[in-house]
Amino acid sequence: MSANYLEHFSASMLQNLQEMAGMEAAASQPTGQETAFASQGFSVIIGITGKRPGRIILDTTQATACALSNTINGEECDEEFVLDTMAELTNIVSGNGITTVNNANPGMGLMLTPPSIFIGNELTIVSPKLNAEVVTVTTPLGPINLSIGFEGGK
Amino acid sequence: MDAALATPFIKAFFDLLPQLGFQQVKRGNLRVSEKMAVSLDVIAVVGLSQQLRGNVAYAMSQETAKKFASVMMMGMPVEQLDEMSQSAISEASNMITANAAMTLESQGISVNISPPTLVIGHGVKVRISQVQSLIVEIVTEAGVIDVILGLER
Repeated sequence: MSANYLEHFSASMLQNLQEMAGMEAAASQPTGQETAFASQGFSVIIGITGKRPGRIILDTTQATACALSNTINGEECDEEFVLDTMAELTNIVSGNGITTVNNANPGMGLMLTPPSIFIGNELTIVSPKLNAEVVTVTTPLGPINLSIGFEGGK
Repeated sequence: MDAALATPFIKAFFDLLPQLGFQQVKRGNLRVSEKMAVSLDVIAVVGLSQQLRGNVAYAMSQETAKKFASVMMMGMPVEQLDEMSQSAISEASNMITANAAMTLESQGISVNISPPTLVIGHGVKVRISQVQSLIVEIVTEAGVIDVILGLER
């Protein structure tokens, strides 16, 4: 599997932020992520199944999630709406990224699980036995971290 | 969701926990959860794909998590939910979900599972599914584990 798979996810993120929210954003270079990391307070987790199981985590603050949902929907924050919007954004970005990875690696057969969402102050997220990398997407509404991890090496 | 889908997960606890050193495994209450609910403090979430899609989360208090890890590690005292005990809980949730997936497979429902992710916090709000989820309590000597199921066929 190519080492720069994370770029497909961050490119999809930038494109979707542009299309859905009319927002210019920039992505950092991928860096390795510790097994345990502190959430900013709002996390969407999507599992990856297939030959190389793993998971995708979109992590941001509750304020950024709310502001982004407002910008995309043109409506004031309603918790349910924020959850649906952020889950769908993560779904779209993950779907685009995984399709590119599958196309580049025939036989990998990666599939996504539905998103789960966790909100709270001082959340720690732990992915034992995964090798994960993270990019920080800087948006006018605040930073969004996109982390992708797979079992057994990058 | 179809409440019958909970059965393979409950069976998995009864199959596996004795093998992991637990003396007591009982089924507690079953309840329907709000889509968004405040959970216990330590949550292991595993995603499912293919013919059954959704998430299953195993939620417990910090205290239960430490005792659970201690039982798994043959009674070794666990003062802190450190890397080793986090790994033990993650591994247990992986084994339980894989066991349930095999039962489902034998019923003709093919399921793939993702690696577990642990979320640790206090007063964590969780939404594991777009559908209403079910919570089944499993009572062990380490304490109560809430098995939160949000699955769709």
